[in-house]
Amino acid sequence: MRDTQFEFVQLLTSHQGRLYAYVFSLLGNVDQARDVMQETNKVLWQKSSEFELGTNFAAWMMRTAYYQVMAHRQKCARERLVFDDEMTAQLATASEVRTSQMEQRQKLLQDCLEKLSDKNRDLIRARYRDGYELVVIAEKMNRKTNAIKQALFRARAALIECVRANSEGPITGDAP
Amino acid sequence: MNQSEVPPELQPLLLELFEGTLDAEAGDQLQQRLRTDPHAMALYIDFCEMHAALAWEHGQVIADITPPVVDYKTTGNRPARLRWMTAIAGTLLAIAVVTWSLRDSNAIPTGPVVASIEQNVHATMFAGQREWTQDEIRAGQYVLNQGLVQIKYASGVTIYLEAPAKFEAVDRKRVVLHEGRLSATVPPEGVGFTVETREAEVVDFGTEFSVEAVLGQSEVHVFDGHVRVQPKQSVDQSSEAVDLWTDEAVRIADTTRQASGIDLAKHRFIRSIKEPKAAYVDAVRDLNPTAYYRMPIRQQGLHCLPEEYSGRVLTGEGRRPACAPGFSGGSLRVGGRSIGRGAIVQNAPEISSEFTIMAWVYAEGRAKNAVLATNITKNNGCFAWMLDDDSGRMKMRVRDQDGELVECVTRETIELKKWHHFACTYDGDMLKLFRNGEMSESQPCESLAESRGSILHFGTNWRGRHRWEGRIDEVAIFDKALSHQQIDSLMLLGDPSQQ
Repeated sequence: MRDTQFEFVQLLTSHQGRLYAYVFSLLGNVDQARDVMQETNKVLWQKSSEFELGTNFAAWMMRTAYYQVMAHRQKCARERLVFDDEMTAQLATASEVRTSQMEQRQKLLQDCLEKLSDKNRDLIRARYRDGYELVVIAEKMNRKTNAIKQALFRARAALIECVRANSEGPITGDAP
Repeated sequence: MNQSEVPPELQPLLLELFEGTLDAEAGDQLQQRLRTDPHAMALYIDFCEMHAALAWEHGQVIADITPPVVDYKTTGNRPARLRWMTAIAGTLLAIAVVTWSLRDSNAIPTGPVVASIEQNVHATMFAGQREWTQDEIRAGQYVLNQGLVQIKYASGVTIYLEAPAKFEAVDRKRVVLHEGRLSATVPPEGVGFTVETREAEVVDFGTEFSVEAVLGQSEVHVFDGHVRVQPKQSVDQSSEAVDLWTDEAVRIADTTRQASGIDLAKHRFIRSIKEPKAAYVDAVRDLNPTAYYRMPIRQQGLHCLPEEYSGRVLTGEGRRPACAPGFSGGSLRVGGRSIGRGAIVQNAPEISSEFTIMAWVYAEGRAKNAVLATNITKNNGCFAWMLDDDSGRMKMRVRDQDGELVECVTRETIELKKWHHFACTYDGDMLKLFRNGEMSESQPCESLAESRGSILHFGTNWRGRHRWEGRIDEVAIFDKALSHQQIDSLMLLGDPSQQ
């Protein structure tokens, strides 16, 4: 019994990164993604009885998250939304196809972070580990905010390419 | 052109999106582009996933998984699977919420990174029953079996954990100490950092404090600043929070859950691995020692100034690290529950026609013939600084060129759990032994046996026997005999607050 309990909890915790990626890609907004992620977690708990251990947790989680994204869209003012319903549905389909490799990519990411130049690694850490705003990073590194923004973007692109190059198979298929 | 190369017109749109500054017009442009360009959509998802992965990897996404409220009236009618779900829903949170029950200490931490290991001093740490060798500390349970780790949080909070210890890294602002010793230094950015034990919750307000959790009780010691200690509520009564300020300490027993004042433990906790500047240290350096072993806490080796006389820390079975708080900074810990077995210097400074050796010494026991320092091996060496056979007094024994032994012994038995300054000088005629700046005994001695190429040991003899029980710090060796006045002056520079 105890093992089963923890299996569910571990599934829930180990899928948090994937859940965040999925919800963020559908909404295109960091703050909204966090809100919907929390709502989704709550619903996953409430509907835990519907989930059969051994079946596809990720698929169940993303289906639940999709409904939460749509519910959020209903409540949210139109001007705060980046995408319309049709686009959101397209993004959901495209994301669901890809996220099965998320754990593998997360492991590769750790190696790729080590391979980054010191400068880029410092930048990524300042942004993601220390949580600094761009303007603060720019001040600390004595550079312009726009330059930091560009450099951060290039660092992300380098990481994507590194993870892709080290993956066993293709990560990105063309979206439908 | 690699697959991640972003078309120029798409790049500014993604840039703004990730920084949360995408306006409505740019949003429409992005949507239009994704709708009509499958490659752009794939890139968009790539970037979203990378952003999420980085945020997760670095602990920015802290999921607050709050279980639903349990309806106990209906629980009995639910199927078995639902019953266990609702049962854990009431007690178990995966991340960010701390409970004492139902936590899986065998799970490998897979949560977000909450801190990183800065230093590992002879440490062996396990998580999920596997050795944890990563530098990151992820949310999860850990067991520190041996040694010492220094953990740094993004907020600037630094904690030192000393084995044996069991702890749970909860998030960036909270750690649960199930067992062991923890010291925290909390800068203003880290105010609110919380250490939880079974008996209490310690919330910091910018300070330096230590916590020890053992079976049935927790202690909190504040060395600087202010913390609030909230004993956990017992079954039969609530307990009031206690504010502790500099140099105050309390103990909270599991049975009463009340905070009782106790003496501050100045010498118990490792609170820094830095060797502080001190008047005593500067004064020693001004006298140009041949070798100066400050006994800093290092990941490897026994450090000496100059480097050529550096050596190696000897370790064996045990749990606590081979280092401890010293008279100034760290010290060499030998014996007791520690893994410390002393230290060895293969390339030892020569002890010739004149010398001085002095040290700060902390004894936790009076083991018979326990060695503080010696350069005697099977066929070489000239001195052994040790406890006397049965009396527990410090003595210096030297061997002259004829093989005769000359000894000086202190008058008093060494007082335990207190720092003492000992020094021994030889000026070519007289051997003198000093305790806390006062001369204990002197004996004539016409020569010293050859010690060129000898090996120096601290805290043990060359056979690995007669180990010291306690700590050794600030060992300085000179190629001249310091005067009584110089030794007395050095002794007086020792910070009285350390005594």
